[in-house]
Amino acid sequence: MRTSEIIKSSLNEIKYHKVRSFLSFFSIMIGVISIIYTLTLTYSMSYRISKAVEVNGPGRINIETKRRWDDDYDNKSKSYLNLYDAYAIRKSFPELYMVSPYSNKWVRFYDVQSKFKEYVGVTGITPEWKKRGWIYKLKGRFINDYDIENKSKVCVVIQEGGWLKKPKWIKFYRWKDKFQEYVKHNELLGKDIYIGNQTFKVVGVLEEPPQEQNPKSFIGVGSWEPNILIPISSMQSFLKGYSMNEKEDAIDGINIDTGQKETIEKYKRVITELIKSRKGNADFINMRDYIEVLKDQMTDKKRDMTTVMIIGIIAIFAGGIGIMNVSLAAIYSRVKEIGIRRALGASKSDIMKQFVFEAVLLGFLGGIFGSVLGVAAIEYLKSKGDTNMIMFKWWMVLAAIIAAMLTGFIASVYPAKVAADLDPVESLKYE
Amino acid sequence: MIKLENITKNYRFGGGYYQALKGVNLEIKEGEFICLLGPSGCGKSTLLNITGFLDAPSGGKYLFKNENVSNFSDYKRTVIRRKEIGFIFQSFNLLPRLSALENIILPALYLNTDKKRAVEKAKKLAEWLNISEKTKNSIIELSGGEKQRVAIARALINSPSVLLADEPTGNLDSKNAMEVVEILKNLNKKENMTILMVTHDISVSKIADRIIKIKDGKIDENF
Repeated sequence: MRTSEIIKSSLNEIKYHKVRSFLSFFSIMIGVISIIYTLTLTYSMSYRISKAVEVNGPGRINIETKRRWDDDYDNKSKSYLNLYDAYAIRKSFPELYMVSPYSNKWVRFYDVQSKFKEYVGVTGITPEWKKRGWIYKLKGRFINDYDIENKSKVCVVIQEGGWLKKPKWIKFYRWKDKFQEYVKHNELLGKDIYIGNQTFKVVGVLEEPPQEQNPKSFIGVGSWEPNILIPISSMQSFLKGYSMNEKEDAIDGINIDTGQKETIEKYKRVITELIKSRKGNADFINMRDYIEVLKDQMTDKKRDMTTVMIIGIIAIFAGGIGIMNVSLAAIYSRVKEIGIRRALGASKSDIMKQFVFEAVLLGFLGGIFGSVLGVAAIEYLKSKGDTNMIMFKWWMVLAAIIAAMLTGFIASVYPAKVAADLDPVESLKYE
Repeated sequence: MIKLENITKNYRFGGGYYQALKGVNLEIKEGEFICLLGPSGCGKSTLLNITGFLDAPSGGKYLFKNENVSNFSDYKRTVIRRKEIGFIFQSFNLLPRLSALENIILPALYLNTDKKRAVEKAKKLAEWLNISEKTKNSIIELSGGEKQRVAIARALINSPSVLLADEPTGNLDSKNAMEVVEILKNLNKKENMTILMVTHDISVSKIADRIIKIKDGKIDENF
């Protein structure tokens, strides 16, 4: 029998047994919805994790001077990290991909023209800062070696990316960042502005990507998000403001990327040795690698992913059992028909095909309707601010429909075999 | 055309076997009309099913068009059945969810005949059997006589060489029964169709060239 005829006959059967079809259809539909949701979520999570690792660097080490609130802080220690420690690391290990010293200060920002005043976070950096975590679009130029050497009074302003589609909750819960509002509405590039009591020239503006696409919004290192970057040398020489460092020449820390995950341990060891040789001891520093920081966050995300995946699999599995159950019931109500078809020349494989096609068609139709509902649900969640849902891709619909059809296929093989193996003579006698 | 030699058929029954056919010898020539008579449970339907390749014999030799088909697999029996055999049943055995026309062309679809050609042929058969007006009707809208005509058209759609009828008049009133008998007679005389018919009804059996009586799974030689 031709496939087109089998499909036609299957559609007739589906139409005729409305309740039975609806039940299988319904369970498959739920399975498909959860598969689309699961795929979107897992895809989003794995994409963001890999993006976060890629952006932040695979061999990332962070060194900071211990603070009073750290567990093993030593009151008597007078040692602290300074810019020369960073230079020494750079000089001793030129093969390191990045050695980026940084220092944070909380200072007053003032624009004479618009009379806008606000306290802002400023980070002193070197050009190596841009080697990792670079997610920005740069307007103008970045801080360069000349600026560091000459303690130039230049700065780069960071502008937040906002949202592609603002989630509803943000309208109620998020306070407005006045500085960001100001940056958004004023062209700062080339302008002279006051930071602390000093005039700095804005030589660049870094535009962040929208929140939904920003890997830093998913997994970040540290909580300090500066508004303005200036050369670290200029900061130490001119800038007054609130800082965690008591000494003027102290820096907050050094970010290092060895370039490879495998070399992290080795460099942790040799850099500690270097600092020991420079300062007499290395007890005053905290050294953490990024993988350590990520590990906890990733474990959480992976657990979420596994949970959702299991729910999806259970749902589609339940759909499969539904189809199998319904197909078996259908066989016993169609024994006579099977006998007649066999007498008229249907082979065992014709009978098998008939039942398998019916189930696959049910899977397909359930898949289509489930996909429509699934995509609608994802759009709804997106509008409610679920940023994972933005990672939805159309191939997921295709995958879900294929999974539904495959479920129909697998679930119907056994019932179809039972039907095909029925004795035609006995089946004809069946009433 | 058909030669059965010492055909037996055993069925499992409880712990042992029940022998439905106990060594049947029968030869049917092309164009012959044979009637199988006998009481219920004597084995005539079993014989019909084996002849029509619905069932395989437990023992003996079955020659169909000079080919030994006794040990054919299920698939081979299916292929030969769909090409060579037309079945007519007492209870019509039409599929209720299909229209009359769809029922008629069903065996042709299993033979992979082009659907257009099958429909054309079905319409000709329907015309010949006086059911042209009813081809689009659902089976439940047809009378008993009409149903059996649809079943006859269905049996003929693949131009089989043998027609097997299992009590084709059993569910019909006498008028319709006679019409069906007339159709079968015509088929045999005009189209030279080989027919093997099972019946209880001695008056119906009279149209046959030969009447064979089955008794206790054997041909009653004394009949």
